[in-house]
Amino acid sequence: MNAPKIEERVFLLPEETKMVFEEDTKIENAANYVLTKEDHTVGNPLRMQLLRDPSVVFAGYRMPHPLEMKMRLKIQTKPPTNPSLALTDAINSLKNELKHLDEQFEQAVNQFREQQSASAMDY
Amino acid sequence: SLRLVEREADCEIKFELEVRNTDDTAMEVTTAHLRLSPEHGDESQEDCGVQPVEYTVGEDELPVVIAKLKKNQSLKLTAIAKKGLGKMHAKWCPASGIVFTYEPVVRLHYEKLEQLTVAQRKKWAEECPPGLLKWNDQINQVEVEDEINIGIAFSGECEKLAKDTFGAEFMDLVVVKPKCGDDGMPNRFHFSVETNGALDPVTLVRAALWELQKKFTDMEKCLHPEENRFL
Repeated sequence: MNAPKIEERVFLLPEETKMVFEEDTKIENAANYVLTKEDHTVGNPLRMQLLRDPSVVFAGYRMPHPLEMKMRLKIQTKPPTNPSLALTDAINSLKNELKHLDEQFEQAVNQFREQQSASAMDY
Repeated sequence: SLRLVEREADCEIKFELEVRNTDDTAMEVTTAHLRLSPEHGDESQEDCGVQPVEYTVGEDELPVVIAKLKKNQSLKLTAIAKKGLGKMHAKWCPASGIVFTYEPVVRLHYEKLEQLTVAQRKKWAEECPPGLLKWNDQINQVEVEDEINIGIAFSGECEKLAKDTFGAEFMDLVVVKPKCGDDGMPNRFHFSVETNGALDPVTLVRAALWELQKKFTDMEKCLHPEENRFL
């Protein structure tokens, strides 16, 4: 009776925005990002990539409640960068890695298909 | 004409199935018996191009079995097909077995193996689950298998067996670690993808990589400079 529709786990409601930015007032050079309808699938890679950045002092994420698909990402940096720049860099690095994976995968699939057709023709 | 829906999630396609078994033998009702309804609600469904997935292996067609009917039994139903994601309900998830393992590097402790008799070594090598170690009769020594079975490499069974048979100090008789690069982090992994037949594995991997890229691109677009003094 009170259960939300299952589409709400994936699609944004009209009043929701994908990302909400909150600057942290108590800590210097820190920011919180709240992502709706996102979970560990993006949170974990982002966190790992941010931690590889030497000018990121703190990077962590959590999902406050398993029934709400919201993810909070907290980033604290030291100069010369700032949290949003660090986040943009992290996203770009991850996109490049994925593109690289994509290309390698296509190459490997084509190689495999050629091998298969070559061995099939041997018979 | 096809009905326009505002979101993909509201898209519905209606199928009908009516089967009667008139044979003496049992009959299988499969997805091949599903027929597209001519209309759904007040919209026509002609030429919508939606059909049950046909899964063929070589020359055989293997449609999915829905039910089995005895003589004179019949089945009549309406079915609505809806698009969905695995996140909404597991019935929509096309992946059935996804396995990630690092590439193993197997090393035997030869000094400790020398402390055991040939019979003990042979017994250990043969009692271990096959796929990691093998026994070499010519040199009377345990050797690492040429083709390691990655499924059991990191399971710790051989180490546990060595500890139970010979004592606690023999636990590192064989050591299995992930293959690491120069920076000490693992640099090679095996990824195995199995689907339930709705998609083929290559398409699934491509779609997964594309979906991840899309998520990151959408996130990047959300970083607005107006509200963000950092940008």
